[in-house]
Amino acid sequence: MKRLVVLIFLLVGFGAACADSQSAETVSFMVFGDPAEREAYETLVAAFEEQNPDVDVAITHIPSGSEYRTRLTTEFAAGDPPDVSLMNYRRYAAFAAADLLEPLTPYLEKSELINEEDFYPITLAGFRWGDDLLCIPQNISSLVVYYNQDLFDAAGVPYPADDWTWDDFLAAAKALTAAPNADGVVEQYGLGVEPSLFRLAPFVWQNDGRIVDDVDFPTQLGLTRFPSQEAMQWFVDLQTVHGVVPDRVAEASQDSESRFVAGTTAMYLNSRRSTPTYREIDSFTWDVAPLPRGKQEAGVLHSDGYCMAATTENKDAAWRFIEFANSAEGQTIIAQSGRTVPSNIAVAESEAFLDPNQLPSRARVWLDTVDTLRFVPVISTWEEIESTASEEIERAFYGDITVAEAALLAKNRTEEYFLLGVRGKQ
Amino acid sequence: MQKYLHRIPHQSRLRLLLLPYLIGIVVLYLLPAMLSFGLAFFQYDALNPPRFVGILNFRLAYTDELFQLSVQNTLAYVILPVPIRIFGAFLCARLFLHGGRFINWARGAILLPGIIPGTAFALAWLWILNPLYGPLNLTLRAIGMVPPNWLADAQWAKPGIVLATLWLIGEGFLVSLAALYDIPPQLEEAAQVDGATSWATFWYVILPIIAPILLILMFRDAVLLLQESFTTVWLMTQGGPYYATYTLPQFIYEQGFGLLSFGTASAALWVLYLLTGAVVVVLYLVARQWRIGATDSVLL
Repeated sequence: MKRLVVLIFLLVGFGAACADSQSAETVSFMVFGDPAEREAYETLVAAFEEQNPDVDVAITHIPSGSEYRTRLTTEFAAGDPPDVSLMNYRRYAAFAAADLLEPLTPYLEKSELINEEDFYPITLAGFRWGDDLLCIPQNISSLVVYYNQDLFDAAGVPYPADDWTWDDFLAAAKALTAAPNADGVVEQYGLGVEPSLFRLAPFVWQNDGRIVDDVDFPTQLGLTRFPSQEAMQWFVDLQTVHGVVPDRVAEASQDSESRFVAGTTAMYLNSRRSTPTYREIDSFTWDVAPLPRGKQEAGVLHSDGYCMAATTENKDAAWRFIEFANSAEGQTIIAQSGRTVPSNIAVAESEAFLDPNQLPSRARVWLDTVDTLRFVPVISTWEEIESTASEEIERAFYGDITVAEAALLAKNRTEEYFLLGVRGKQ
Repeated sequence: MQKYLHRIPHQSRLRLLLLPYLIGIVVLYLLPAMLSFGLAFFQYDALNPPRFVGILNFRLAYTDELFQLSVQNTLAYVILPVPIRIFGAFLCARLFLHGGRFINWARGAILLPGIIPGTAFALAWLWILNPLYGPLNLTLRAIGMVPPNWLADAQWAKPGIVLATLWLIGEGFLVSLAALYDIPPQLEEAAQVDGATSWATFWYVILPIIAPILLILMFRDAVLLLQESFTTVWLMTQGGPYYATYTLPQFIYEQGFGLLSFGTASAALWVLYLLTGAVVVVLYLVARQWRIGATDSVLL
């Protein structure tokens, strides 16, 4: 009897030892996005695991962006964050300020798979916190004009040119907005745009204005300055004066993006992220055009990066995953989902992104405007600054208050966040 | 085990069955509530260690305009809707106490809104109240009225949400129905023999008997609306347009999980608890003034 017990113990011990030596290192990875994106990330992970059999990447997928942020914050707060997570450059600073992210500069310097030179410089700049690079950028998207070609054709309006201006843009929007019907309801709008600080930003820059006083050392919003207000007035007039954008009631009844998808709005301002959704539209053909230009060309950077938590146990394994995801192979997999404008220059210039068989056919627009892109400041309280300022911009956009009032309210209400905000040390 | 159980008197054994609930209430509600009371005196963002700040959080909450606005809005969701909901439920119960073939359908229709999940309910009302394409405004426009823009209008957003919550009366309806069945029919008959009109019977006979139950329902409803209005509001308006429907639970949520000020959130949470207590006390005093339920020893 005793011998049997010893034997069993030995067997169990041996088995456990075997399992231990075979078990892979685990890297947890959290992303958000729609089901199509989820599939792309699963393909990415599968490809990585095939080449790295010793690492096991566990994906947590959160469908909505706002829930994603809450979840990420809670997990970081609980001290048990995902090893690798995808974060926007407007959001990571809150975590960077509390030293929760692992600086990736040393890893990148040693890497044989990827180099700094592989990426568009501005995306790297967005993730630089002081001297450290905290995340490796996955994409370099920006705001563009999605337009419904069928509506343009029907109204006899020429498609937007690559060098169109604010006036061309407004003229097209007016021509594509229908007169109200018998009930006073406008059934077709020329344009849809979210009244927010982030959407307003490129137009302010195009008019030589500023979003904040100094993008490297921001201490207050710059919307009260004359060129900024002029641009803001032009932006607000699209709704209040020209009525080419739904008013608050129309927007509440059916939001602009749904209207665009339903084919009742001719132009919609958005980044690359909706391309997979719009590819499912089969009732009309659409394409993208660059933003119209004001006194100068300017666009606004949209970029997400793979970031590593400072508490990660298997840092080497986590880095290998980040490295792979941003290599030509990894970025190609994600680019094929249609969701990203790859930050890896070689992939961006390849057919993975510029696929001639897929909409939009003018995808080069994103690459041709890279030199005109600017970023919003990287400060730990940016999320609060943006949402507070957007509340006032929205009120002006729907005619509740004047542009001057909105600019001043936005500036005053965000003052505290600039004071509390932390920037990377330089 | 059985042996031991038999030594416990029957009544106590029944009480033992409540133990899981008691544990649940203590662990999931009371303990966290106590912890949050402690947290209210600290500055804590969950990323750095907590720092004692005395009553600063209470002062911060008090001086925050959004906090004051949220308290006002929260009270508005209670003061008017609670009496309407409870009397509505009671009247429906009285109406559908006896009846013909369709009585069960009618009762089911009243219960149904309370049974479907809160999210589905909110989304359905988002559609009903849609200013341009919603069935309510289409109907109002068809009969020649100029309908309000409901949730898209700062003036009408609150009435819109209240209108939606008025349909969640299933629970009060059921309880009232049961209470009405409990009233011996002889009472009503006696009143009628004495020449009381049906209105007088209702007002002087039925209502006083059922009043204690309505009072308990009101307590419960007030507490429910104070704290659970969050789901409906969050899904229908997110507190907008421009804070018109912003409530205290939303303030707490945003302070805690948006701004990571768990201290301020805890302080505001305790204000909500106190507010809940105050509303219940006011209801109790009003009830005592009216001598509602004065004969019921359980209540007073």
